Amino acid sequence: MSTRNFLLRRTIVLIPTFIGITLVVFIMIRAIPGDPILTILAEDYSPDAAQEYREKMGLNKPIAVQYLIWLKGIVTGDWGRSLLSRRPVLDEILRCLPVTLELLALALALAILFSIPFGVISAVKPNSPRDYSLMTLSMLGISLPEFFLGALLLIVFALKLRWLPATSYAPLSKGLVQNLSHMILPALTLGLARMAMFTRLVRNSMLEVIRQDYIDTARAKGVSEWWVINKHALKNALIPTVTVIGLQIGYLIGGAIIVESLFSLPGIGSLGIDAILTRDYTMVQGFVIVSASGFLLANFAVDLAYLFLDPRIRVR
Amino acid sequence: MEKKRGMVRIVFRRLVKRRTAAAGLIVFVFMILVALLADYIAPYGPNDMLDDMQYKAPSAAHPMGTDMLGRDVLSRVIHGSRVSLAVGLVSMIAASLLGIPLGIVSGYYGGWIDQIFMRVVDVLLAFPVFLLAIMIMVVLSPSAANVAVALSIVYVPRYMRLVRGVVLSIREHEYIEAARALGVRPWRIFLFHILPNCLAPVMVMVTISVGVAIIAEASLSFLGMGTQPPMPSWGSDLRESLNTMELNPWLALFPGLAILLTVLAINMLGDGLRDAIDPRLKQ
Repeated sequence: MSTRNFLLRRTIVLIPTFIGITLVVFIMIRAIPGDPILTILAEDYSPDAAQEYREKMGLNKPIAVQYLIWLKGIVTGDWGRSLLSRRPVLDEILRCLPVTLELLALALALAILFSIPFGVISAVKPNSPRDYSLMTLSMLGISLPEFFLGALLLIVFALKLRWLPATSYAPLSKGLVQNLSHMILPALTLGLARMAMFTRLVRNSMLEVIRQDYIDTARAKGVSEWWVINKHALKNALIPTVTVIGLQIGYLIGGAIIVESLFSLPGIGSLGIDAILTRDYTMVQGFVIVSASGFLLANFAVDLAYLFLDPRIRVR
Repeated sequence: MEKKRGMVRIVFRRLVKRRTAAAGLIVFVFMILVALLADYIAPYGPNDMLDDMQYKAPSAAHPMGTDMLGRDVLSRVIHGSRVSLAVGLVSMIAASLLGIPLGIVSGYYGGWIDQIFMRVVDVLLAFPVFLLAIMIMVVLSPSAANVAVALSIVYVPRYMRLVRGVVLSIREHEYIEAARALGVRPWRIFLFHILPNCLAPVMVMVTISVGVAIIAEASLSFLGMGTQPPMPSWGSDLRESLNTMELNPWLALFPGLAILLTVLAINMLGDGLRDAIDPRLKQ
């Protein structure tokens, strides 16, 4: 398959999945017990006003038509208004998006940056004390829920040692240092479990590769051990890791919701949870669509990365 | 039957030989006993408010201290294990009971049934686990039972996908074909020929996902969307402790440690089980 065909096929597959996502969200919002119009109209509610609203919004039309009207709104950027603040949902989401993206990027960067050397160190001497301690630590990391780790970090670094601010946020416009001082604890909280998971992956993947014949060949040719590990083995060991990183972005998105709530960061997660707790359903709808689409796009990006990392896919 | 018992014994022997897996098993069984015997071993009721005992630091009388209402934290942590373990175990058993037959049917028959099932699965898998659980909790009202329902729904497509994969790989094997040729009914083929082959990977997945489900329950309760106070739950108790965390860190520490210990034990057990069931996966 040529690169172009591969890209084209991957892109086309996105469309039915996105439609599926919107369908699930549409059904979910309509499955919520109670009449949403009651919430939307609030004090202005009367049977006549409700009827008028239904006609205006096309809610008396068949359900399939309602879905198409709604889907058109989503695609053209009309995501409705928040039931509470009355501001456009899409504007609110775009305002919060940079915070979440920064958090995700920092957490992922931390996880990848540390897991590769840890995984390699573990794999080079399997079953050594070094390997055992790293594997035990990573098992601990995987089992730590974000909100507990975050609470511990808050107690130690913000409340006791007072090295870092507790729960607030400074945008990038206030300077990088200021911004990072607020972001480092949340990013560490979110990234640690993934770091642990990736470390195990890199280790297992490295162990697999190190057994291959071409590694023996490289050694037999007198290539230095450092070069064998870091150049010949690591490059191939990272390929399967990339796929898993894509899947793990789903957990990162879920974790970001908790971390933002714990550290009071004004991101999509906090926006979504507040919307759920205050029954602001148009906002909930926007939150879910953005999060699920983000996951979809992240996996698409991983597919693309794969294409460049592993030339074998292109000729397959 | 004799052969089957032999297999179970072999897997169990391999499992307990690994020290980490054996430790995981012991801790997990211990936690289950704690949950079952909570009424007998907890020194106080989970909601007993003791007079003049608000915010007491850990002491001999209250090894984990007391909370803002003068409730004994140890008793709440012990009772909280019930919610966590019940939600974790029930949701994953329910999800596998639904996911396994659907996965077998999808993989065995193929064709349009498989197409329809797998497209639905694709869409459901397009949602991150925790996001889908939150979405379902928006529709249901917040409670521990509904968290179990939500998590089972989230995991059904995951079990379907796993089992379908196994069925696809064995569907054309000769012994299945022979059974078909002998006129064995499909349900007997499913039950006696296909199901035993799916059990090993499913058991590993159930074990590991019980840990994920326990964290998810605690996380949902932490966000106020799961178990509701005053019912003791590790997640919601930790949330309640946040406001006074600086002065009373033990309120956050003990419920958190309980989650960590339980999930760690389950992960160690799951890891060991995978190696014991399929030594080829062992590195």
